[in-house]
Order: sequence, then C-alpha cells, then structure tokens
Amino acid sequence: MTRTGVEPAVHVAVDRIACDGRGLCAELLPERIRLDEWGYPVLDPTPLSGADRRHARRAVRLCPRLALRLVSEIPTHG
Amino acid sequence: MTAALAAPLLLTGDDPSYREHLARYGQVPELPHGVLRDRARAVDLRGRGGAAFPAWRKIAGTPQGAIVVGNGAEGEPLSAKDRTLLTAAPHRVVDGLVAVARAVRAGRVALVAAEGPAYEAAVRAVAERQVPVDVVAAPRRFVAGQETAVVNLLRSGTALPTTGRPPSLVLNVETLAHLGLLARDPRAFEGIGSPVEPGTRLHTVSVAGQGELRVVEVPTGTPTDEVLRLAGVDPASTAAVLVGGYHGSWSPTAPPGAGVLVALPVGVCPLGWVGGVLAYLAAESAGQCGPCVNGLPALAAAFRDLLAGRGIARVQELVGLVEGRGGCHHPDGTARLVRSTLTTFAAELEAHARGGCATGRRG
Repeated sequence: MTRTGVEPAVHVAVDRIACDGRGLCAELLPERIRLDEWGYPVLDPTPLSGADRRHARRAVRLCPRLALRLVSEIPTHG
Repeated sequence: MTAALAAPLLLTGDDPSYREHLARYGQVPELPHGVLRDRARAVDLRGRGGAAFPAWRKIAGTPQGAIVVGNGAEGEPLSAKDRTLLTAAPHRVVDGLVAVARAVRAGRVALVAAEGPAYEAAVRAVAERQVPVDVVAAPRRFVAGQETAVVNLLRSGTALPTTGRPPSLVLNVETLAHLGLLARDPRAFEGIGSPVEPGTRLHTVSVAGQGELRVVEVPTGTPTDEVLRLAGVDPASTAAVLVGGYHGSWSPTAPPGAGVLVALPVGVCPLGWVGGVLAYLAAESAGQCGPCVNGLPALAAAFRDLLAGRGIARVQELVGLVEGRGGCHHPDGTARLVRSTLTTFAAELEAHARGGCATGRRG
C-alpha cells in the first residue's frame, strides 16, 4: 500500500531495556507520555498528529538514554 | 521418563550414536532453500519453542550468511522435551540444523543446549559428525530460551534478552528434528496426526506440586486428556490443566505452544500454586526493564494479598502495567497466567475473599 504525498503514520515507542526511567519524555511530551508508579513511561500508541510530531521528535532527541524513538506504521502483508 | 507412541518419529529408542544413525538412515540430503521451505510449508510445520510461528516463513525470510541457531536452551522449568530429545536423539536435531544451515547458506551455525546431559550429548554429536557447529551451554534461567537471549549468548556470552539483533534464524531443536525428517522424506508425516498439521509433537507433562517431568511423543492434534493419560496422569483426578507452562493458560484447548502441560490435582488450591509460580517468575526477571523489575514482584505480592482475601483490583491494575512493557515476553507471559487464573478460578477467588478456600487445602 502506498499513499503518495502522505507521510506514513508514526507513533512513539521506547526501548524498554535502554530506558531507565529518567522521565524527561513525560515532561517534554505530556500529551502522549505519562509515568507509571515507578517512573517508567506509559505510551499512547495511537498515531501522532502533525503538531505532536514536532514535540515528539524533540523528546526523542533529548532522551538521555536514547531509548525513545518514532516508529512508522508499515502496513503488514498476510 | 518418556512414554512411547506406537510409531514414534523422534523418540525411537535407537542407539544415539552417529554410526548407528548413519547406518540406519544415511546422510541427510542437501536441499536448496526453496525445497526445504516448501516441504515445511506443505505440512504447516509450526515452531515448537512456544510461539508456533510457521517454520517455512522463518526459513524464507533468512538472508544468506545469517546466524542459524538450534535453540535447546529450554528455560521453562516445567519443560524437559528439548533436553530429552537432545539426549535421546541428538542426530535428529543435527540433521535438521545441517539441512537448514546448508539451505540458507548460513554464515555461522550454533546449537544451544541446556547445561548438563543435553549439552554433553550435543557436544558429542557434533564431534562425531565433524560439522562446523558451535555448541554452547545455556544457563538455567527462565528467560534464557527467548530468541534474542540465545543470540545474545552467542555474541556476548550473556543469556539475557536484547532489543535488536543481527540477521539470525533461531529454531527450536524439536522444530529442527522435524525439519530433518522432512529433508530426508517429504512424506515423512503422511497419515500421522492432524491432516492440516501432520506429524508428531513432544509434550512435557507434570503434576502441579510434584517434581517429575514426563516427556511423551504424540500425533499432532491429540486431545489434552489423552496426552495426560499417555503420560500416566489420570484426567479424572485432575481439576484443571495449565497449557503452555508458567506463561500459559488454564485452557485444555489452547494451542500447545512448547507442549508443556501441568495437571492440577483435585484438592490442591490453584491460587496457592499460582502464587508460588508468580514469586518464581518475579525472581526470574532479567532485571533489565523497569516495568518488569518493579511490576512482577508487586504483582506477586498483590496476588498473595488476594489469597488472604484482599481485593482483586490491585492485581488487575498491575497486570495492565506489566503487559506489553518489557523488552521480551516475560511480563506478557506472566500477565497471561494471571489473567487466565482470575477467569478460570472465579469460584476459588470468591471463597478466598470470604476467608476460606474452595479446595479446603492451600496448595
């Protein structure tokens, strides 16, 4: 499936092994990320809207553990 | 202990030496990638390590030069089929490993076996055949059998799960043994077991609270009660069956996964038994991911409180907090066991909430 001229849907994801719960992401992207009772991120898995994307990219860039990333939702086949 | 099928394909009881194997079956033929893949596809061979992923898809997606790994780490303490297979019929496993490695033109080939007799049998088998296979001993820990942990063990010597790994094809040793049979004869499974997924399957059967593990080879599609009977466990004295081991569910019709069946005897409190399992699973966290490190001990404690008659809400909340939030399947499998326990044993939960125990005895 190709959607010419449309950016693929993306959402935030975290490398759970790399993440050590510094919590910066939840401050930078509170509309998408909250922290659980131990301080680890709970992510909203729905695709990011255009405005949220810019904030999400900043959060990814500033994660001190390089654990946060943006994931494109690639359509899967059979 | 092993029990016999009328015509077993893997646990035949033959002498495990290569001389005997060669005399009986000859060399394993060299097959092109596509032929082996198509043979696995024709019988819908599913991975026997637990995930039941179609073996042909894994083979088809493997690039040339990849690491090919036979996974016999068997971290689940209630599983013994991989160890039994490697000890009783190591050349069946090596047949499959060699056939797959040649078909995909592997860059490196390894066989990971649980430390102890299985590892020793694997070392002996590889030496007898003089094939370029690295045999590696896996430590006894629950998460050691996860695919990324096995690849990590080969690369760094540490059997812990990772996120991200090099191109690799990891196949359970039982899956490999079946592939070896197919490499020798595409009709090896004809007329045996279920028509859609023919052949045989290894199961490990145990009784909750008892130490003995019994391995049986049965035709695919054999009903759970029949597998229990073949392993010498009376279904009439069994209150419930856990399918899939410590990461499994209390559903006798659930997919068999790695073939681990646990019979809960009538009169043993399922909640008490599961409470013990949860304490074990919490201790077996690899210690790498926050939600698992913190969540599994909290979940085990909340479950203990539940047994003492305290509320179910905290258990449910913690299940939601660990599920899908680890670098491997450990928290997900633990959550599956808890969810299944809560739905299957609602009556026992009510009895505990009233301060009693429906089975009269806490297991």
